[in-house]
Amino acid sequence: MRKSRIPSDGIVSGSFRDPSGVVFYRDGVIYRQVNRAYGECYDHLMNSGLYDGLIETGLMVPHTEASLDLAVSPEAYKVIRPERLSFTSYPYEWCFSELKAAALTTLEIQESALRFGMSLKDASAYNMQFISVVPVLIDTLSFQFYEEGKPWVAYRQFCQHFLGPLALIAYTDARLSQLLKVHIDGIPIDLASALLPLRTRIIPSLYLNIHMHARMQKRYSTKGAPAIIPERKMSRAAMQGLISSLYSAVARMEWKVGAAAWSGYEEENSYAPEAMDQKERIVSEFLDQTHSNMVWDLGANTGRFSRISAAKGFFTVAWDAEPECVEINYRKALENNEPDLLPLVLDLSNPTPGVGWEGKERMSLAERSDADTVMALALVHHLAISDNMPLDRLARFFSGICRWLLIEFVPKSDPMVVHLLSTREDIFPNYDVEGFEKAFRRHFTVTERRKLAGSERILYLMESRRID
Amino acid sequence: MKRLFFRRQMSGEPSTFLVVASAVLICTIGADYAQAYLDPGVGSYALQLILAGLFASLFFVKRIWNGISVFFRAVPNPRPDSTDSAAGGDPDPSKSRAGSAPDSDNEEKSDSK
Repeated sequence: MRKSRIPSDGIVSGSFRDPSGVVFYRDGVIYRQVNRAYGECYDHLMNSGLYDGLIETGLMVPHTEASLDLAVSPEAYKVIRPERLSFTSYPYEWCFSELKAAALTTLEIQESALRFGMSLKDASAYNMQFISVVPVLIDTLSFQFYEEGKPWVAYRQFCQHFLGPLALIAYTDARLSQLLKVHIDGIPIDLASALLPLRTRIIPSLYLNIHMHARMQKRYSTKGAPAIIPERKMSRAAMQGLISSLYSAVARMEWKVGAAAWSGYEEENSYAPEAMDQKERIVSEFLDQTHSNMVWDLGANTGRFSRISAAKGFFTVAWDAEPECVEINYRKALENNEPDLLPLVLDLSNPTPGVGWEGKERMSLAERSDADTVMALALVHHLAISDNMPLDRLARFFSGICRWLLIEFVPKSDPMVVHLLSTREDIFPNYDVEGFEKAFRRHFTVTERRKLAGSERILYLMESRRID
Repeated sequence: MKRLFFRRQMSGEPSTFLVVASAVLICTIGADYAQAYLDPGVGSYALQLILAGLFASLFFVKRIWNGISVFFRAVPNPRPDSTDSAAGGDPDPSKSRAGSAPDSDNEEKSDSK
């Protein structure tokens, strides 16, 4: 088994902002320290029935209490061991429906917390992670006591992390979700307001929570606290009304993936049915020869081959650069309740960097790359020809992120490559089977090589020479 | 699956456009604009207080409309014997502190001055 890049010891760099506790690794196991300052809140969470309810309904990640001897600092009150996630993903890698599911889960948790005398102090999208196809809250220390009369302290964060980005995808452009990569605490509300089309001003929920919200922020930004803050109270009913109206607003929001996308992105349809059947059989046979816990399908499209891997019980991350493909893939996974499939957005030519303080708060793609097997089907020609990526660099990259590589070579004679080269000069003299194999044999041992019937395409199973 | 949002029926709720539009007009008349951008949190906080009456009204209307006692049912209510020292534990919004739901019209007008 390939050695994981996830650290075995040390404090998780994304958890330093919270004075309530800290997340750390010890011997490869993840723990969360609860500080004494948070002890009363933690006890209430655990003893009031809120924790049990959230676990029973699958809204929060379960944990067990561990020995206090594991604590990393003297202010420790408890040490807990949360259930380990299969993979850590970030909001800028989610499609619309994944972000929407995370938003609705956050609101369900907040409403539940209110009934138990607590309230979420954070509504960060980074506090949500996917277990199976549904998001759960992973930050056990996100709750504080609810003080009746006070507004929701996480309201602004909810609008920045969820409502604004969802509205931008639904009403402006799906690619704007990438603004979350630039703004680590969510898309600023005035920016969302400026980017949303005029018609969103007649949608009451968006007018109030985005456009009017932006005006209010500007209005009070230099004036200090307005007089109404000490004078006025927000009743429990008003708080429930706010959460309820946000829930309705998010639940109603839809991103309409064009009908053309459903067929257009199924590049697999360019195969003859027999060739597709044969390709599926070969992929399945190759996967059986690997010993995988984690499979990454790069350029997964709508997940046809990812599903072969997931059906074998391999946890499969299906990456694609097109938000539409990821959206379709996630909707299928949700419909079929596929527990081992996680569709995510990724531009492989510009992969997710480390972001936040010191560039370490959110991990880069490379830091999270602990896949045993990578599938790169019908992908190489896009990287080599569309993105001018030399084959040797591709081989070196793949050898660094996996042990087994299941890769398809698409030659220049293939209609897809002919199409790519139709409007540009052919500056790729080494792009042929010989050049491909020469580049990849430097980094891999080829264990299988099969040609697809009725096509010039070749499928390879390779094992990396690199030993971590 | 016990989670609500995958099976929740969102239809059948009243249109709130007119109520909201009226409140918005009242709230935004006279708004001025600052050039600097120091603390966006104050505006977010104030917005909730200004709209508290509206949200409370919407919540009651929705409750009546849907004929339900609580909006969400994902997590069961607290145990009656819960030793909760905080304000929570009572799911009935009508038992909120008396007068805590502000009179939206009056307060919104006063704020806009």
